[in-house]
Amino acid sequence: MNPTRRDVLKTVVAAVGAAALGAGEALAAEPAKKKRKWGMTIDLDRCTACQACVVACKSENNVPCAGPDQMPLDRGIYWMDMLAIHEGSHPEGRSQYLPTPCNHCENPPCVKVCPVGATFQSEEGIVGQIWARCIGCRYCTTACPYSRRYFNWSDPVWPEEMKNHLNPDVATRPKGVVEKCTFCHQRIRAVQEKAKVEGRELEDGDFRKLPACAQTCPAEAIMFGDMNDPDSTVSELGRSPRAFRLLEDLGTRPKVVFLREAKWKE
Amino acid sequence: MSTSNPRILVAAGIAALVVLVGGGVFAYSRYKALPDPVTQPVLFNHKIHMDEKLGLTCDSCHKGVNEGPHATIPAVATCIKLCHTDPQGTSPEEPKLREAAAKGNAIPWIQVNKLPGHVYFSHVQHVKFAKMDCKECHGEMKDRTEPVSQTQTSRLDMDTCIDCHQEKGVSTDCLRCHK
Repeated sequence: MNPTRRDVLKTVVAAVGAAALGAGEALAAEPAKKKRKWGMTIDLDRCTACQACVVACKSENNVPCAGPDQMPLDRGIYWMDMLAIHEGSHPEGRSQYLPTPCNHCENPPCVKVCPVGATFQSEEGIVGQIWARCIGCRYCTTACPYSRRYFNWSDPVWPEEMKNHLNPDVATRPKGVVEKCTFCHQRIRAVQEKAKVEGRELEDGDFRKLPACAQTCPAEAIMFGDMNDPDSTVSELGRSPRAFRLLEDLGTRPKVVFLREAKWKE
Repeated sequence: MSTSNPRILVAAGIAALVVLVGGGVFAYSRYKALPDPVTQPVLFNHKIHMDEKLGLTCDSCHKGVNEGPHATIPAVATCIKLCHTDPQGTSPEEPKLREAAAKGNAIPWIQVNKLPGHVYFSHVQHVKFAKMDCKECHGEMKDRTEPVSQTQTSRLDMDTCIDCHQEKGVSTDCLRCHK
């Protein structure tokens, strides 16, 4: 059927209208503010391996104590763990201690394997986990090249005196789900909401020591912040020649940057 | 008796179907049912407090809605200090307030609107910034003469949250609302 004059006219009017709307939208849109991308730097030259961060993390995030029956089976849960690396043997031997939270990779292998969407990358780059959605298949614990994911082999237990000290801002996890570091996202959310109520813009100083590990570190080795902000502490430290990431050749692009003067292996 | 009798097989089939469907309907009704009503310690009358004479609004007492995640209930001392210094009426409930204040106790209200432990909800985001009316979730409180003994809403589920967030173009990022 040949188009009638009316049909042609309709099309032309619709096209002009759409073009005008598009132009209007383009004018109205402000230059898009870059989304935040949370990252962490850990200065190994400052770290004394005191493990305050490990304790603070356990306390903040209601991480259960595995207890004497689970620990020998290597079922302890540490969102922030202190790994020991030993080089050489006695007279010349030396040790390196490495505080290791989740790397919150930009290309996270764990997210790709989750069959139920329980783990995901948030708008601000945090690799999160929704405990209630996890079915406990443990694909993600296998996929994570850094072993930063932990399975709850038993119901969580705390010593009697700690039961009334659980953090209400973090849900406790039942038996049968995987859990991991969340960069203390409950604290990020709280500080963002508080600033919104007070009507002020957030600054780098609001985040620098926001996660429990960073807040507790007596050597100020752990710094936290927005990696999309070129002037933030983490961005500045990330440009340091001392900076490196764990297993960089895997292409996971971790957002936890370590700093160390000496070479990794000598 | 032979089990190959087609009548018995049909009857068994129908019985199984009835049990399955009935069980499903029962389970669904329990799942959707409101929890059992509770008895609040004081028969607080919202209507008296919110009528034209006093003209209080929700956030006159539940101040937290403009400040943070929790709506908050005023301390007994605040009620005494602001209005109830002298008896304001003849209600037998009012002395309970004075009694609690004298002992320095809080009134043990029973929470009726409960969210699962892994959900974060912020009143300030919804009331102050999204400008939602309290009654959209809590019902029309200014007509109530009795305290709330049951949640007023069947909306405390994730479907409702997500529907509204999508409709209003708000983020549906998991970490916005989960903890």
